[in-house]
Amino acid sequence: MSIMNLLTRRTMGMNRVRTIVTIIGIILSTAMFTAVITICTSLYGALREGEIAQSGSFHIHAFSTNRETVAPALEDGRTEYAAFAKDVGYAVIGSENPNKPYLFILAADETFMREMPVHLTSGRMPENSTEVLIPDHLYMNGGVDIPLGETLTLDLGERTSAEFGSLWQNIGYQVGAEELTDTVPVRCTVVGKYARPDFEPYSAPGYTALTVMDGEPDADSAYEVFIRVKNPRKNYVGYSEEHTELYAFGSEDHSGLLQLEGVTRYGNISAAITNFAIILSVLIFAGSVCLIYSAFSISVSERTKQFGLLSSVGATHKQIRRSVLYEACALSAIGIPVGAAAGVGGIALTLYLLRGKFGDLLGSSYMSMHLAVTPACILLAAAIAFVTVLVSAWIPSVRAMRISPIEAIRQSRDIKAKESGTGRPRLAAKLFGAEGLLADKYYSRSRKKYRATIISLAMSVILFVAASGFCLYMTRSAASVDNRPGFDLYYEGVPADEFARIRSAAAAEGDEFAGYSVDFDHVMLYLPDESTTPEYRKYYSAAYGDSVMLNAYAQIRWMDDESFRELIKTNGLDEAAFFDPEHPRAIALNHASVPVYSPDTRENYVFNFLKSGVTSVSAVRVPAAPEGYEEDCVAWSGSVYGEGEITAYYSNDYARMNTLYDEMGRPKGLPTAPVIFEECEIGAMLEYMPVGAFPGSYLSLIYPVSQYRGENTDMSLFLRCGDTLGTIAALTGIMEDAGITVEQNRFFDATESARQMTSIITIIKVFSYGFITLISLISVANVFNTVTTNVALRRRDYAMLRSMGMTARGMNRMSNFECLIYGSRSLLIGLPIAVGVTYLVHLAADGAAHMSFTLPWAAMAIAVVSVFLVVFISMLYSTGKLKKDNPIDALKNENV
Amino acid sequence: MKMEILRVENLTKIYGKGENEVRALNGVSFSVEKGDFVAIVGPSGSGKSTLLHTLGGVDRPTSGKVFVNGRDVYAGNDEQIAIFRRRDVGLIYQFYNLIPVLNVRENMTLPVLLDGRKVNEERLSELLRVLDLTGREKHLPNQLSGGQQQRVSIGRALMNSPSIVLADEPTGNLDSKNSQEIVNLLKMFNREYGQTLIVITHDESIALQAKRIIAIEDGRITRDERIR
Ligand SMILES: Nc1ncnc2c1ncn2[C@@H]1O[C@H](COP(=O)(O)OP(=O)(O)O)[C@@H](O)[C@H]1O
Ligand SMILES: [Mg+2]
Repeated sequence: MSIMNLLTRRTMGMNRVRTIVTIIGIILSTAMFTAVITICTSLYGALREGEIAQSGSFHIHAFSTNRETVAPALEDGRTEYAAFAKDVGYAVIGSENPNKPYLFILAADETFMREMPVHLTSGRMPENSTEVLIPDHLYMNGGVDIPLGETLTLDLGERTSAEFGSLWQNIGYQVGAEELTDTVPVRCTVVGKYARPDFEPYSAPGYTALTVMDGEPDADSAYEVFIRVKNPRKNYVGYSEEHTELYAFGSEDHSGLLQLEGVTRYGNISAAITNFAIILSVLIFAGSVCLIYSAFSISVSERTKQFGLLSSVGATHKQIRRSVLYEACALSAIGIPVGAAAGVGGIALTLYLLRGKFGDLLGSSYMSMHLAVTPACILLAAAIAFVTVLVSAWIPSVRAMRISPIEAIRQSRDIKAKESGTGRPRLAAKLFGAEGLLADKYYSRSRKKYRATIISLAMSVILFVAASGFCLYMTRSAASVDNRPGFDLYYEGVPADEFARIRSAAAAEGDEFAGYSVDFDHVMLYLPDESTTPEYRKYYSAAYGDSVMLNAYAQIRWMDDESFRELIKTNGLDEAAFFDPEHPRAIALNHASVPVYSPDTRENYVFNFLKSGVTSVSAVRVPAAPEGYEEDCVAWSGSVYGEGEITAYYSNDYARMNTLYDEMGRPKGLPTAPVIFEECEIGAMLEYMPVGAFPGSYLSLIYPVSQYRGENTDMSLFLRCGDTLGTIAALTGIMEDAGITVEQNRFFDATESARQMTSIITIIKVFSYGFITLISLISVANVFNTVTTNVALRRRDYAMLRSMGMTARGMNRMSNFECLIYGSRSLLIGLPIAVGVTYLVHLAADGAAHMSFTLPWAAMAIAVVSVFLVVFISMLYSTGKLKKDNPIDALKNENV
Repeated sequence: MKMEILRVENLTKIYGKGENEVRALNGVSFSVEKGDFVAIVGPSGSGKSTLLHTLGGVDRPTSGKVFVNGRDVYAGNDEQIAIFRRRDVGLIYQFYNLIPVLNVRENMTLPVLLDGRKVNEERLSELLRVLDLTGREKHLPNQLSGGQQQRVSIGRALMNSPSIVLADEPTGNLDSKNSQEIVNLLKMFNREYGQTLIVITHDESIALQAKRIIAIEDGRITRDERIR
């Protein structure tokens, strides 16, 4: 080993704490890089796997085509597989769902069974064309329960309508306008059941039963053909342009999968996730560079004297640089492998701990998130970390070499003192005595040394607050893009007199429940600017531009009294205010999240309708139309919104046919009438969706059902639950026991649509918090590093002060005052910048969802407290070490 | 035959700027012959250390030239100056300036090792013997007394048989017994090995043991006399 390397090793060994902190910094940074990369690959892997599990692995679905037509594609070497399925026919099955009366039999080949989403839930796969799989929703949705092993005799035929001829699965049921023709009786045995298949269109009229296709597909029958292309990133675009025969009878690209498999024509599926990864990486990069850089700049400034000495006995710059490089490599050699392992391990552990959640949230039971680690990813993370270390090691060493050896030995650069400023010392002296004065002098005379500490503290504050803000906005905007209703499931039409009993029986199942009357009222509102929020007005003008029409609505609903009381209780409201029959008052659901579409964008607006303190809104009632006319619109009579009077306009078929409308869209020269305003009193406003709420662009006004004056007294039961299928079964049992005939198609299951959004929010939360933790750790290591060095560099001064008779208490006072300087200075710099950066983050998130800007106050408070805490503890540690020093040793040792 | 080993021409060193300007050296010229033993004396702050540092290639003069063995020291680049320091100069400081993490042997052989050459074991053991450090090769600086540390730094300065040895108050931090021991050693090296020496001191008795005394005041040579 060369003398320089030996020297470096010994020096590192001497400063063990610093070396360890630096290694920890490298470990943390590498861990975070590895974690970010691993989580991205795992997430993409999971999304891709989920997409395949959900919809199959095909890329192109050619609609009812034949073997002959698609032959060129089949012969293409780039085709990975072609799966065939054949429509066998429809049979009436006696379903309760009026739009889905049939069982539809699809004969699929082996490839189809393997590659398409066929998820067996019971029984076994069919082995020949007399055996079938039936889908679970035949019972769940259609109420037809066929036990396994039963042999069915079906009259299979073709759907025909007088108007369109032969119909297939993509065309919904034509009520009263279609029939089955050419029926033949077919016998088949139910050998298994499978989950509702994704290849069955939502509006399909038949429940898809799967059977095995006999023999090879023949040349002229019609088949659904599903093709997967090898290496889609490279081949797909060219392939799909060449094989136009696939589109002969219509086709569909599996765009969800193509996006995930990186076919650029399809853009990027989850920009949120990509942005998330990029922003996090940048934050991590900033944090790590800061930590590693300061660790090295400290070790170099500590070693400046050593460099000077070496230089004075003839070490060249190259030799010194090489020794710094050696140090960087030695630290990396320990830090990077450990960090990479920790990163992968951490993510593995996170995924393991969340395994149930991912299963629930990312998809149904057949989807989960696995750790996806590729050597290339680890290498990439290691390379990024190593470059960070190298750059961090390089720059301070270059700076140290710019001074002459003798200057380095004397460290005279640091001694240059400036006369300190004005009133502050007196305040310091008053508060902290002579020691305060001294600390203040130290601060103002060696700003440079302090600067590193203050900058890294400020940087930590910025990173922490920005990352928290980022997490807040991402979660909010993800949550807002999601217009999920306030329920997972509801059943429409429980008779009112049975409702209370059913509700309490159901509540024993353990989820959240609320009932609403089946009836609801949709009323137009006049919301003057004084009572609305600026965010609402921004949304309104984006959605309706300068229309003179009145476009604000309220939906009035009646909630069962028991749930209403619970709602009042959970929100700390006054019960008496809402149940006075003379004086109905509503709870307004004031919060909304509404997408506004333009030809090529979808922007989400998140807002409150009403300013707080608004106690009533004006419902607009339209007087009955004159004989021969009907209501057409309600609009302002002037030429802009808000001008003239709110007027009801009437028209008739003749007017509509003959375009008697003005440029604002109001009927011309036809009867009008002034509208009638009706005050709706608002007793309270909520900014979240209680159970049972529907999302939408209208204001929801909720009254207790005892205030309901209508006729239909049936209630709908809304609930939030984890396992909707289980709950449906339980509720069916409960209601049947109560003697209510349950119709399966009156269940509405909202979980399917909520699935993906919930998963994204959870993922963002878990990982944001994870990374905030790591960034905080980096910051703590950083501060510890700089504070301890600053104290260590002043070892001699401390020794001198002690030899001059400064007491331990005096030293404590001095260091407390220094903590105060560090803390307040860094917050003074850090917080304003943090607010700025957070605002930028807000702007980035605002692209996806418009919402008002709020600061992550909690994070800021935590940052303030932790800054002082961390500084204080670091100070305590380093001065504690100094106190053990023998002052004379310290004085002697550091002489030049 | 007298051979000029060091020549200094019109050396000036200015620290600071404007009203803070300090002229530490103000047009110093002289030359030293091989095998000479020069003492530099002068009051504190007169520029002695500054002169020595510019001679040793560790501090660049503001203007003027330093020739060692006929070569202009500061004409080279940083790398060449470093190699010059490594091979042609041995510096001894008042506070030893040993590297705390290296042991005696490593400290002494540092210039050789930096030069990437093999340690001349014969010379090393001879130096250790002469400096009375035999058996202490493995000790770290903080395990040695002040006199011993200074002897290690002398050994480091001599290890490469440099053209000149420059010592800045080498006895300033030592008691009189240890001081005389160090001076004796330096004299011995000068006598036995013909080692050229330039030693800063403000101790009259030490200066009088040299062959030539140069006095400096306010950055100028005020006296230059040969006493032996
Ligand atoms: N790095 C420096 N910056 C500013 N002035 C300096 C520096 N080094 C020395 N000086 C000044 O130069 C003059 C000569 O210093 P020095 O050579 O150390 O004197 P001596 O060694 O004779 O005591 C002194 O006035 C000193 O204050
Ligand atoms: Mg001096």
